[in-house]
Amino acid sequence: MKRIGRWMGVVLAGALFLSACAGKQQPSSQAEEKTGENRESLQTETELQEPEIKLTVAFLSWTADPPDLGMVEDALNEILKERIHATVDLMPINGGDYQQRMNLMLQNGDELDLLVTGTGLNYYMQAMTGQLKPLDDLIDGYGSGIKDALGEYLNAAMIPGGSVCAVPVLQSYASATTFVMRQDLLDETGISADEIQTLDDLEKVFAGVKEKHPDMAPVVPESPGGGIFGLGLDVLYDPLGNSLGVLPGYGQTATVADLFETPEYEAWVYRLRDWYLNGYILADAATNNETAADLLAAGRGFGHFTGVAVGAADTAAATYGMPMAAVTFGEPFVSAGNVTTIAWGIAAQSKHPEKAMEFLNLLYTDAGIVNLIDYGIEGVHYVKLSDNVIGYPEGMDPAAHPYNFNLSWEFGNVFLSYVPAGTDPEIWNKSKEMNEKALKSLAMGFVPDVTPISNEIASVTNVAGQYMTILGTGAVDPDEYLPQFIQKLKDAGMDVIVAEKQAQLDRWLKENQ
Amino acid sequence: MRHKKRYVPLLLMMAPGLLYLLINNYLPMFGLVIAFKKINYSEGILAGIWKGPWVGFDNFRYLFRTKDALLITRNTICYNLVFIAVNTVCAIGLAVLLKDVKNRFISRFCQSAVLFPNFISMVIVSYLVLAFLNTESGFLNKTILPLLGKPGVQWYSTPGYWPFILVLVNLWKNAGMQCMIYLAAVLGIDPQFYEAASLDGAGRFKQLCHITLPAIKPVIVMMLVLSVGKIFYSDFGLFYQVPLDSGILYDVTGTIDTYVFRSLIRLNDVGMSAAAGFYQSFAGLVLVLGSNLLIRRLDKESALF
Repeated sequence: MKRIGRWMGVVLAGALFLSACAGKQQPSSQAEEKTGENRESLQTETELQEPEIKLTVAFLSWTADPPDLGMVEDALNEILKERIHATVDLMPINGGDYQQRMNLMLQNGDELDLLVTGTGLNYYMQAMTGQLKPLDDLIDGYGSGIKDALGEYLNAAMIPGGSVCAVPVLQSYASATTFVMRQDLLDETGISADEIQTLDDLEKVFAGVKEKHPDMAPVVPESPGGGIFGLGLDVLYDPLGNSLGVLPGYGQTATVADLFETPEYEAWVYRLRDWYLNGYILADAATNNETAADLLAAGRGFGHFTGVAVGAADTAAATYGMPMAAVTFGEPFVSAGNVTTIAWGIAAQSKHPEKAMEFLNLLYTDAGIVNLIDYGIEGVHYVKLSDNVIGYPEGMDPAAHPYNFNLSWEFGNVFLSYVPAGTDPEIWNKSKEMNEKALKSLAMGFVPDVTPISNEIASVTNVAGQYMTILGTGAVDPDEYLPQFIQKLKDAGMDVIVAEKQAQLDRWLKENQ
Repeated sequence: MRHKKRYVPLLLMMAPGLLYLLINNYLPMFGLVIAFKKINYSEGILAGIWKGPWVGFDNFRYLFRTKDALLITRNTICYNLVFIAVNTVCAIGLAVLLKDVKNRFISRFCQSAVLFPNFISMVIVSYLVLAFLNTESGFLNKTILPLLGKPGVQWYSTPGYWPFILVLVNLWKNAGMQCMIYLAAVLGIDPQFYEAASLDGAGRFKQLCHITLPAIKPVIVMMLVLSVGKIFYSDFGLFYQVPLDSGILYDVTGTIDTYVFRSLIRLNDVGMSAAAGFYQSFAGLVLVLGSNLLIRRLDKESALF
């Protein structure tokens, strides 16, 4: 009896220990230098050995999971089995906690192959700490379509050291300070969108709306926790990676500055404070956890700021399901950060990086696949009205649409996707044109190496997190809080960051002239 | 030999508990090395930790570069001290009052009512608080303050109110459980003491000071020692969820736990958050040893070890 007990204990302990370890084991990454030539043979080989390769694809979504997601996934997998001998598991993650969930998944080594990342989604940090696979060889081997579609833009995703670790989504890269608002309420004020030239004009519209609808907030945040317009101002700047130490004034001069000390930022927060005191801004904007879509639908808001430069009104109208107007202030502008706003990376823990790249390549070349993910199945979820314009099928209630992802901005080559009826059918051509003619930052292609200043960045990020939203919603008095903010940033090492970025930029400019 | 045999079943019964302790409390301690390393994930998680280069105290630098470390330490300890004092006094008070409720139904009802908040998740509590404090539609700003003729308050951007709000919420949520423990102790006191005292003319207050409190003193001391041991830990939900993670309140709502979490989420740097966690563990250890030493000086019987 005693002996059995002792053995039981040992076996039990062993089993527990093994099962605890099993979850964390990492298979050594398989041979990486598979070139195009032996790809065919490899495919048949894997087909025989492993009948099913399932890629986990995580991406950002702003809606609840649509009921027909499984149906679309099945249809997609039918095609993918034939094309790349693999299937995908689509994993939408809500934008509200996307970054948190993604950080944890990458740190835990959860099952994950492809993920959406980007400038504001910790791309550089993920790439520098090796959470993302370097893609150069994979793109050479399996991503010819990506190369053709993106061209020079692919280099914008380079990290210090010269590797590309994510593939930017090909889309409209120009950004501009834009205010989108409800057309019906704008009409009530008797002002037309064309008359609005400056922020002062916009203020008059707010006054008109507030007068007619005292309970409504004319300005609401675009997304939870981001302030009224992220870090935005009417004069845009090159964030140089993380918005700590920037090139102000459309990145036209090579002098790095602390954004929060610039006159543009000061003017912006004082204006917001003014709006807030007049009741133009949602009173609990700083702690609000609803999206602009929800607030507008609930009749609590009139409009919001966004960075979309082309077709903002149409996009908003399609998303919110009501007529919208848009006004743009200042110049459209492109920086490296804009190109990598949304990009696709392959997680370090991926067991099938080659397959993941093949799938990614399809997203840049195959309009059928892109539109299947974007809009669902033709005839079921949408009908084609003309070559590239689609509409709802007969009798479908748009509000109860079973596949209402609205994610055409996220998957690969956006210019391949159809355009919903009501949107300008020429929007993609206009976007391409705008990409060409927008003001470009002179630091385009420069990415600072933040390793020598990582401690300063950590301290400064914590301070910024404390003040940015609260100042960016007008909820507190800038007279008191702005100097406090700037001082705390300095204490935390902002000057060191600015100096280091300046030195790196000067070196880069010298090498690239 | 006989002795050994007698202990086998007991040891076997202890094994699962020990195993749990080993896996849950001792294995993760290896993770402490993360605080002193720079991790590269491309090798995989475990190999990344194992092979990552040692960086000494580099990961700690950001913590002490600003006043953050001082601030979160102060908040954690001061809030816990206030919580301990307020909760203990209120819980004992409640217990003494509940003891004298003679009607069985009302007594049971009151006990359930004070205990109930203990079972509510902090996320739900945070929304209950929001229902009171919401700037636009909250109960306080919409109903109470207008009744008193006062203007509305921006609760979530005014740090001054939060020490009181947090103490109140914590009291509401946790006093019930402690109250039950004290009530059990109070009910265990022989009623003859009270009868004798009232015959001698002692009023309620005299009875409380000379019978009830001395009788439950051991329970009070034990509860205090247990709380002091946890003084370096904070209720994450209370400090993170209830203030809705509002940036401007960090100075009064930030504790070590929320700081570690925010660092991990915002910086995506395991090394730095591990450093903050290490600091918490180390300071906590020093404090537990210190308080135990103090208690041993004052009253040798009550010390934990």
